Amino acid sequence: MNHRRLMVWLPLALAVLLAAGFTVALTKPQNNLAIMTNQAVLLDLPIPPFALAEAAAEGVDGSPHYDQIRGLADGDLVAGSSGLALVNFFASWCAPCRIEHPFLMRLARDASVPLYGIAYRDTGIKAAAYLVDAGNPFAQVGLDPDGDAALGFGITGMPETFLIDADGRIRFRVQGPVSGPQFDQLVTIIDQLRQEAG
Amino acid sequence: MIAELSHFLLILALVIALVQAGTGLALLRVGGDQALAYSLATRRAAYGQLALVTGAFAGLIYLFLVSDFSVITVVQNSHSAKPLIYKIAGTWGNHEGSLLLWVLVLALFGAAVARGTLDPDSHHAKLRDVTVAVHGLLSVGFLLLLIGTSNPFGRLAEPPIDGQDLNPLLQDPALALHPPLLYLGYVGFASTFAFAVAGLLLGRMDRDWARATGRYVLIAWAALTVGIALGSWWAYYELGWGGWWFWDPVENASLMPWLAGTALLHSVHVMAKRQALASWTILLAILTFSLSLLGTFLVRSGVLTSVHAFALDPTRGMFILILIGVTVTGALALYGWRASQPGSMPANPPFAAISREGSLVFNNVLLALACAVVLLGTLYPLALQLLGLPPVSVGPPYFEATVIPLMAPLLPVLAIAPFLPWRAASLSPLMRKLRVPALVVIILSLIIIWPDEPKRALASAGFALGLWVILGTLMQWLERAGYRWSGARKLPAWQQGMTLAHLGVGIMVLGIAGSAAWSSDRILRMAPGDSVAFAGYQVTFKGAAQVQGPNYVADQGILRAGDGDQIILAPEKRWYPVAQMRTTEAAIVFDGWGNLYATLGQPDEANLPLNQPVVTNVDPATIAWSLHLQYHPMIVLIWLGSGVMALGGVWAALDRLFRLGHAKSGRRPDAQAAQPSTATADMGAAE
Repeated sequence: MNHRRLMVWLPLALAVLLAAGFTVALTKPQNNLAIMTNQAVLLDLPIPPFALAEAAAEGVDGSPHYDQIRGLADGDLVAGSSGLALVNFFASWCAPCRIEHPFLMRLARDASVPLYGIAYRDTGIKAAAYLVDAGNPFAQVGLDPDGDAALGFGITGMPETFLIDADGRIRFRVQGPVSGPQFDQLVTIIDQLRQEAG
Repeated sequence: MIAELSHFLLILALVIALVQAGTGLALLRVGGDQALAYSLATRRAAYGQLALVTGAFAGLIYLFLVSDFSVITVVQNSHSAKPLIYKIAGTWGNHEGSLLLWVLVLALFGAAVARGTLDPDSHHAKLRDVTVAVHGLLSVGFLLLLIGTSNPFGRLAEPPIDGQDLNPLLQDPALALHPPLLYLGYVGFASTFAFAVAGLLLGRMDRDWARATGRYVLIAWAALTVGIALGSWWAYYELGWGGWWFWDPVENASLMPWLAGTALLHSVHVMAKRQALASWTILLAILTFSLSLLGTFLVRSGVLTSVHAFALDPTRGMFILILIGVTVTGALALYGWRASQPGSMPANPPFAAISREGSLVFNNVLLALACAVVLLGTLYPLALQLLGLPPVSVGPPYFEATVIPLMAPLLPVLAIAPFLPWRAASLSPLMRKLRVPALVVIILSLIIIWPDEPKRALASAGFALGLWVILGTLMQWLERAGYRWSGARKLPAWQQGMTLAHLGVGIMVLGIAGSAAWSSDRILRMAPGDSVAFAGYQVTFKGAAQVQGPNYVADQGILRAGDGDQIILAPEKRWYPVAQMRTTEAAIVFDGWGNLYATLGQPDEANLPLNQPVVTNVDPATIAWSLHLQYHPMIVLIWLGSGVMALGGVWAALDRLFRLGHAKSGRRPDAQAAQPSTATADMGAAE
């Protein structure tokens, strides 16, 4: 009978344990478990850690394009003289990425804000071919074939662009292509932050 | 105006829910004439709540219909160019609206429990009223969440000229129906939860409790079955991968309450017939709803990472966690307190391992284990991250290796168990009866599968099990009917429902095994005019062109197959400019045996200038595309089987067994309350 009496409390004990685990998961500082899909949630948070492969790892070594994609990790991001850097998610299969590409090329001419590219759910050969043909605005590019980095950044659609400061914190985010008004807005914000830093 | 009015209706509903809970719970203390007044107040509050929440929901649908872009929810989830049906579906295609739908279904079930004329002094009436009160408590919690953190009627100071559109993946007829059905299931289990809590509060958990609860278990289970099947059907044709189950956290979240609910409907049956397994059944009723809560809310609170997750701010996530925590731990504490009192639960009548009860215990143990295994797999990545270990993704390999071995042993027993008498049984007469179907199954399986390919042993075993379930179930039904039509018609509704549901299981298993064994799959690059032999068809690619939809543009490929090219497949890749999303629309043609399934891949880069959007001034007739062709034989049986299962659940719910003490049922309510066991014992003996 004693044994049975203890057993009936077991479900409660397990539930309390689970609830405690969920509470920790939800309140843990800088947890990147929560998907960050909201601009307000995302702002001023450090970028999630990631380490992405180079195209050569995929065995496309013979291709003249493979050195376009040399891999990218969160530690590789270096802010330019403006104290800022941009991380852009793109893919060769993504139509709006082609729309924003000329704008990225324009941003790349301003060397004070280096661009870093993450090829989302793409193959090395396709992403490299895309960059060779359309031009490569990126200082460095990594492959995210399974979308791991995209999950960490909370990507909701393709493309997306993140403005990052020297401390590795996200200062601005553009969902969708950086073109037209979004481009103007991004340039304004870059100028503001540059003045703050300088 | 409509938004403010609807918001106000919700606040009124919260007040009414407080009354519903208060007066109902007061019945635990008061009796006599006062009790009658309290009972009436509780039940009328339940009806009033339903009316108020319905009004608020209608208000939200209206705001979506007229595209009122001063309301945040409408802006974020609708667009003026969206087709009418998706404007309506947009109402529940987002966090706020779906929570309102949840509250509406909760009110609906609360009012359903409240209805019926019972002798107000009877135990049935008391159980009903306290259950309605617990419903009221749940409504209070969810209305607080809705009004406090997720108001669907919030306004924008500067309304934009157009909305941001509903996620295009969700703009689909199956998915428009999927959430309401899923909620009907989830929230239906709120009723069984409320019955469990009321039973624990009243300290009366006998076979009458099970009979009062049974109908709600069956209805909720049937709705959840159809809801999951629709979700799976949607994933099959909308995600374009040709699979029907992906072990995604969101899918697992609906599978867990389904597994627990399936166990529950069997154990409730044992309890209603034999008054056995009472403690376990009550616990299962609590757990099933807890898993439903876990399913709907933890997935979207941001705790579990899934690409389906709705965005949530941390306050809201915390509120949800507290709400679930209080509900679940409160009920489990009540369970612990009541169950640890000696004699609080009816004693288990003894039964042998080989008996109807024994087989149903086997069913419950395996289903509960499968449920635990899915829960573990879903929460494991979270646990690792909490311990600071690198995140892993637990995928299909884990679930297939653990769930299938747990579910497969249920199938041979499923065909036998309904033959077994209660208490104790002997297997040898049964073996004699089942000799013929067993032989038929073995011969059929050998003929159908063996010559094909021996390495498909698992699929052939599955196929044989499916046939076995169907034949065994039919045999059992025929025998109970005395092999006569008149006998078949006289069988009680729960028997008919069980037969149908078990046939549904067999049909579904055939679909799973058949599609696994004989599917074909090919990825190829085709230029316009290219032709390929695939799955017995000659498939010709006619080229791709750009087409314009109401709120999207698409590249549409045209394929023709069959004699005289009479089968046309038009897979699309759609681009929704407002939502900035690309979707894949698979083209599926059912030819009476299987599905011919085509998806459009990428255009061939060699022919395409890369700095231009896809399909531009290049002559579309010259562009080659990569195409994914699949053939899935018998796969429709998976969804057909689910539908048959659900139909069986609804049929069984109509049984008189669950019509308790109503004046209409012909028995005197007080006689039944005084002697609950005899009334059902003769029903049990009658079968």
